[in-house]
Amino acid sequence: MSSSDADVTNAIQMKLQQNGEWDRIYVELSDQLNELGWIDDLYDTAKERSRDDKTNLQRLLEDLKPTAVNGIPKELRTKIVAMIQASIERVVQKG
Amino acid sequence: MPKSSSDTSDSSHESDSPRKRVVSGPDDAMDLDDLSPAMVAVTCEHVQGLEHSTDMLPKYQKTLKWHSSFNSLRGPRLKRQKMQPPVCSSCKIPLRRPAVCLQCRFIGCWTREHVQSHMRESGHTLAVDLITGSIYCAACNAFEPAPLSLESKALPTFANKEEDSRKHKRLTYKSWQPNVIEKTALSSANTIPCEVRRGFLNLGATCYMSVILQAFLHNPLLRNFFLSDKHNSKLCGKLYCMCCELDQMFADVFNPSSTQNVDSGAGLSVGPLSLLRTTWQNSNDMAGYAQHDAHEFFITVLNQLHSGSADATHGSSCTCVVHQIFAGQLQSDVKCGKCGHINPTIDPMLDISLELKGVPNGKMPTLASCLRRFTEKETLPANAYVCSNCNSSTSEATKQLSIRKLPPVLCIQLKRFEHKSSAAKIDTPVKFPGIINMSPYTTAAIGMQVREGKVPKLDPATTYDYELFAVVNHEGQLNTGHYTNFARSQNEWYRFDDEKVTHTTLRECLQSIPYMCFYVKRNLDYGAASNAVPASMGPPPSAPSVANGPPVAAPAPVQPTSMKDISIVSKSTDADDSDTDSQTSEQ
Repeated sequence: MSSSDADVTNAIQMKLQQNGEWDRIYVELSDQLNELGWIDDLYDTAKERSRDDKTNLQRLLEDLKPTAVNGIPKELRTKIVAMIQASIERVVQKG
Repeated sequence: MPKSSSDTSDSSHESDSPRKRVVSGPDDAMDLDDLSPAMVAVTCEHVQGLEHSTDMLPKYQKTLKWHSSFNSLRGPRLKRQKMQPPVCSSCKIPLRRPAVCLQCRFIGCWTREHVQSHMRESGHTLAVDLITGSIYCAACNAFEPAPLSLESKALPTFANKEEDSRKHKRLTYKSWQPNVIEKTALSSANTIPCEVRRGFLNLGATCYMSVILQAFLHNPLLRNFFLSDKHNSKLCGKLYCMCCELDQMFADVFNPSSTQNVDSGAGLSVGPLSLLRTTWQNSNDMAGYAQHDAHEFFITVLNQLHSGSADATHGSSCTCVVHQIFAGQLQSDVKCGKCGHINPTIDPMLDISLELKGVPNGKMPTLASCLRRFTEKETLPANAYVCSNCNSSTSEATKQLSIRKLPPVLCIQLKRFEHKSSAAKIDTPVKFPGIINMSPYTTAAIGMQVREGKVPKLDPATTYDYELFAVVNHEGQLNTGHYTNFARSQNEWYRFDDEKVTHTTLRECLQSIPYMCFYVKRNLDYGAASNAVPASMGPPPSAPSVANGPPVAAPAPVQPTSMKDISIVSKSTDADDSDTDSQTSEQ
């Protein structure tokens, strides 16, 4: 990403965090993931994995990130992406 | 791998990290000058150093306080939230989850590892994750939860200035320190480990009792109440007093040389004969060796505890241990189909019972979906309701339930048994979470008027977070089944089957078919206090032995000592204290 792209992304993200859209999407995602058991699943995997003294924080994060991301059901992913898209459009339109 | 062998009297954790310093076992001398919970079962030396540092500690507290007022994910948005969120010092990305270096002005992001790079380049060691208050130690490359004594001062629940302008004077939490007399008494006492799980002997189809007793034993508020001598069975004079029975049970469980403990082949287990006898004595319904319903036993014991409690009062504001811990309020709003007038009724509750009848086939129901059904608008049949405003009874009225006041400990029962027809059990599995947020089911969130014209505000989201600590399971049919349960002790999960106790995982627990689920509020507030305290905080892992030395009150992690002064109240959805409750009987 070029630095001007990064600036634009940051500006949009800033707007979304200020107008509350970010929070709204975060809460929706978090609630859905919790209800599906995704959070408990990840927590339990991480906890059991971390009993092994040979592992460290970085390794744990590296190992678990792909499973975590892939574990998000397609339906939920589509829904959240649509919510994000709609929020971005609203911010961009306002100028 | 979780242990599969029985684990009843063994107190040491098989998975102790070598860095942890845990005070346990009779050979450890108690350091009487330093009994603050923070210093026990603690973490790396860098985080330990935080408590005594003159520059990092105030910064830690200030940043958490600031962030808590800034960050409120659910509920109404405060003015200050419309301010600019902080940005990463390296890449300028706006941060919703900032990590703040405790040694300089750096604020960084995790996703691009700018926090870690900063720590490496600057040589600083500690950073705090603002959402959880956890501390990242770059030297040990690990996250540590904040030491308990610090956490209580900085938890992001009521640091909000707007909350501070309440009429009550606020108490700050102080961890207990022994006075001179207590120190002398303690120095001659033996330490015994507090991390004990014991099974219960089955006295003849009493598994319904074992599971509920385990739920009581693992209830942090109830445990703290009895272990801090709030009802001393040696001093109470009453016969067949349920409070004494529970006090004795807690003492037996933690004392390996108690005469109530029997070697059951699976370790030392408790034979709760006296408790069973007392239950029968006070409640004819529960007498006899037949199998009973665990939920019925639960309510029976709560009623007996209430009756036997010195603090019990009739009416809505009883301050006995049962009501302080389990009592909440349900609001039922009936809306007239014709004139729209809403008639609210408020009922006390000790638990929530959710229907499983009529759950649609297909996807497995979740606890959240059951709670949504519980609080959804229901149309009453015509002529069922006469409106007090317009006297119409023909239009369809709607009724909606909501939780007006959440108790510190929430017991949720799934109605699997229909007592009218014989042996009709609804065995549908229900998916339930380790942490549940109860705000969507409250009267405030549902928008019903708590009092005329007034819709209460939602409190900060974290006050509605509840953590699972026990689950009761039932296998088989109504009268020929067997009860077992899961319970959480020091963040480890165990399965209890009468006298057999096995170490297991959260996953195993969540995969079971629940009958009753017990949740405890994550952040408690002391009624008149400003700072919330994590409910999972308990007595330090060592407690003086009751058998040796002069009788000494077990260390109470709470000051002041009288339960009356504390009055643990869950943050209710209405701002005022006087309730115009209808005097309905307890369920």
